[in-house]
Amino acid sequence: MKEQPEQLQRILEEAERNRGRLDKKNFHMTSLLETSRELSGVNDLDKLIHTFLLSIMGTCSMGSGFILFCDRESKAYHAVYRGVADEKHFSWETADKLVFDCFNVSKERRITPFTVSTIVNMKPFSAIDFPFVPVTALFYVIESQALGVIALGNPLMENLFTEDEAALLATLTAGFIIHIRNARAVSTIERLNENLEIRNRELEQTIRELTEARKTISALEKFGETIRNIIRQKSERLSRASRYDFILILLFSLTIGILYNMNSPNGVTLVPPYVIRTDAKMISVAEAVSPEYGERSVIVDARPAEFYREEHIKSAVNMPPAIFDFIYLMKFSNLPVDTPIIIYGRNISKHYDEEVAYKFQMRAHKTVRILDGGVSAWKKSGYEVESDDS
Amino acid sequence: MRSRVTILDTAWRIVTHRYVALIFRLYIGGLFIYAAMYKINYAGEFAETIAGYRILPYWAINMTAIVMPWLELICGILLIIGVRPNAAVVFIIGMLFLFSTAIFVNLIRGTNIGCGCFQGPGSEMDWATLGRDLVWTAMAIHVYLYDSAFHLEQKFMMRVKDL
Repeated sequence: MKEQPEQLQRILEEAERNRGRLDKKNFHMTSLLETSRELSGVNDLDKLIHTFLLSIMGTCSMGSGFILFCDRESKAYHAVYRGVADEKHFSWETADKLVFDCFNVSKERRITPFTVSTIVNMKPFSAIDFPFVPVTALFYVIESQALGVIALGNPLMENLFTEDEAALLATLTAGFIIHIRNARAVSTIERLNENLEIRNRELEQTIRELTEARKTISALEKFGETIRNIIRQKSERLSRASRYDFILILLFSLTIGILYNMNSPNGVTLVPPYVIRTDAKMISVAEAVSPEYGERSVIVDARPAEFYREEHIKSAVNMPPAIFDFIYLMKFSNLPVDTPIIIYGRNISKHYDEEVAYKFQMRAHKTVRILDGGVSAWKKSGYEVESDDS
Repeated sequence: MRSRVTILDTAWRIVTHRYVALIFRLYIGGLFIYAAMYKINYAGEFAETIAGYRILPYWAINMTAIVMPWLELICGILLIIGVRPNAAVVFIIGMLFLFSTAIFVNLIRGTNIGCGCFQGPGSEMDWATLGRDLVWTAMAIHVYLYDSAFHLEQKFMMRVKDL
């Protein structure tokens, strides 16, 4: 009977120990769950490291903590401290060396992705004047070029960090590296999305520019075709005779003709000189046959001989301008200068009568008259004409 | 029937060939240059010839005698060298038409005058003179319609095919 309470006591103690272990397991499981929950929504690498560090420090009851993550590909690193007064700032080379030294003193002999190993020697920390003395440290590998170190120190209670806590820390870290991998993947996806968006924008811009360029090219082609048509039309028009050609040729002929004529010894006046110079008066047929003139006067036919031969006033003397001097010498040299001289003979192209009248005036004859209407008027008035051809 | 059409086509192609037009062009151009040379130096004599036709008013005779020979000379030169040949040949056609009309009118009138086409009044004009002028007019029209060979101005102008 006495043994029964002792046995009961042992059972109770055993039960108490089991309960303690179960509480611890429960705490560990809760920590694992909480940590996983806290990390699950975080994709920012810095925030992820901060959150995880805070979480494991609480779980492992540590006053100080440090997480270093190195991306050897981009030579970037994240170093996060908690619970230290004087944070040590790393250069890339120092951070990389610390990770490499930690790998050397870890249990792992080769770098395998998604592995966590315990660092058995804290020399790498002491070598760089680390701000706290790590109680435990882990070396983790996410990928061959993405690795890091976790260190915890300054325990809040003595002998609390047992192998169970070490195992829990390793498990938590294994979850942590999964989250880091995810965060990096999300970051990569975001970066890719960003690049894609930029590319899309560039592509849209290029398409817009191409569309504009196509419109411009189309407009330029249209413009070019118009210009080509205009030039073609102008060219064809140039090859045809234009009114400017006629005007130019005519003006050139006129100018050079007048200039040459002015300087030529055989030149002529622009209008016949007698048109300007003669002042012989016109008389009608009735006056010509009146007693004032009548028998006293001499009638002169100034036309060329062929016209004279065809038809002329009876008793008229043929005296064309071309042979005036000769005829004058033959027939008029002795004629008194006051004898009336009646001259006729003109056509649309030549006023022979005016030319001969001028020549008579030049020889001082005082009464030189031109018969108005010539042979036609003479005939119409009923006076006699004759022809040498008959 | 078909061969007859072909012969006619070939004959038409030969008649309207640009080298035939070139020969006519050189002939007409040379003719007008030759015709102008004497008249330029003897404007008075040419004025008498024009007056003999009794077509132009007396106040225009001398001016015509001064300008027309130069117009003939310039048109003849332009035609031969192929500079503005269309304009030159239009002038020549116009002048030949005027000469033919003047000759025809005076033949109808029965006036016995020399045609004065080249040196001095020359022999009296007759219907053969009119026929000759009409042949020259036809040649000039042929030049206007079919001439395109050896134009000097084409050396300095952009042609349509260059575009």
